[in-house]
Amino acid sequence: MEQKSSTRSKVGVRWTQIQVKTAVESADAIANYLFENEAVGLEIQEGNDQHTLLVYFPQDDLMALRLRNLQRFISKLPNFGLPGEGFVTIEMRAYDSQDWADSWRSAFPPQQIGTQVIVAPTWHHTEFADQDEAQSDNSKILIRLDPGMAFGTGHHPTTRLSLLLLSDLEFKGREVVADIGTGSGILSILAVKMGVKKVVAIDIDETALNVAEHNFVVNDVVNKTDLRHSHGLDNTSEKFHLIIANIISQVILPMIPLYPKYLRKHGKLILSGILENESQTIRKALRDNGFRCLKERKQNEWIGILAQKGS
Amino acid sequence: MAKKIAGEVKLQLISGQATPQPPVGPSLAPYAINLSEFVKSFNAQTQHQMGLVVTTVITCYADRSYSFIVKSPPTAILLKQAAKLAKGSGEPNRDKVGTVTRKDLEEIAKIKLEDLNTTSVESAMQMVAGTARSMGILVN
Repeated sequence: MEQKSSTRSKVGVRWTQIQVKTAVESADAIANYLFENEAVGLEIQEGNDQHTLLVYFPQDDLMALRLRNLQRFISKLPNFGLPGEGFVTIEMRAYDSQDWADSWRSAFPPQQIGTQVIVAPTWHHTEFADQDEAQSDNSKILIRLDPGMAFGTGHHPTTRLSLLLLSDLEFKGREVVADIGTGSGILSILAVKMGVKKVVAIDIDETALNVAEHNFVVNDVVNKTDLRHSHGLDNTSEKFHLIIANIISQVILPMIPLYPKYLRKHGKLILSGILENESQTIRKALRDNGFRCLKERKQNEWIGILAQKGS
Repeated sequence: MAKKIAGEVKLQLISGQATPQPPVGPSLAPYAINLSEFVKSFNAQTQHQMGLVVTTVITCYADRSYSFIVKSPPTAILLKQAAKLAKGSGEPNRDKVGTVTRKDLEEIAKIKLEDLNTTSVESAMQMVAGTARSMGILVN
């Protein structure tokens, strides 16, 4: 199993998957054997008494030899005090070749959200060939966003509800907005593109802040956004025209009593990440803290709420 | 952020050298996350230990975003480090290529305890010793 494989990195190579079901005790030894014999990686599916190792090799004339050598190694495991034959099974199957580097992209077509907002990955050409063209059509707003390590790709109902509630609003160019739990920055980008003066985009997760920073550059909104690493509105001195919080109810609920302090007179609040069965609690907390619910939107089991300070 | 988890994938990969090819491609494809970005981020985060096998756990969310952590190296890598070896023996029954002490075993067992399906350090040490022997490493 130590022969060279010159075709490993080429797209279009056909693969053979070897699936090794093994007693937990032998998994490390087998994984190491595989790595020392050509494997460049493996997946471990963990069970209580058994692990499954999935390893892939290019389909070539050496597969039978690889398999024989692996079986020979497994047969020796009892000599080392590890469960071997009878505790390890091997299955092989051919794996269709795919262009793994690009095939995932088909899962991210452009999304139209409401009548106004289009979220499209940077590699995708929409009917608007470029951003300038999209901006010249006053009825549409194009957000360029590549999926990645931060929440907010537009594929989750809570983000869609926030985008819809935000796109329902009108701005006059002087509004200051807070986006709590900005994630990918998608809501901040939309707010800027709808014409607000500035967005303070806040997240506790540094990875999210890096992703948001990149997305602000791609969408040319850097000058109107202020990224902050913070827990909620702690250390914030501004008063906002609008606060957006697409988080989860357990985080939103204790923050509701704090929001009036950070909102201007008649300031608005968009809350999302609320499950339908939690919405009564959120509505009550809003009322108890002087908010009036202006609008609700629903998708699947999720609720998004637009509320205003001052009943 | 309502992060609903769609699934978790545990991979062992070579630091700084991951590609979208198998196992990364087929293992993560069901979750339709940005593979290119994952590969780039993983390689950047592990480049300081280029070439070393590490375990990574990728958490994929319902909105197709993801996060990942890099865990401690596999037992075999820790054994090779303790025995100062680049590689185990091709004929572990016959050719012994290195030695580790019981103290080494204990240290490795403690690091790997959560992955070894036991709460007993002694049981974990036995498993680590078995892995060592399967690599042609003697335990003194």
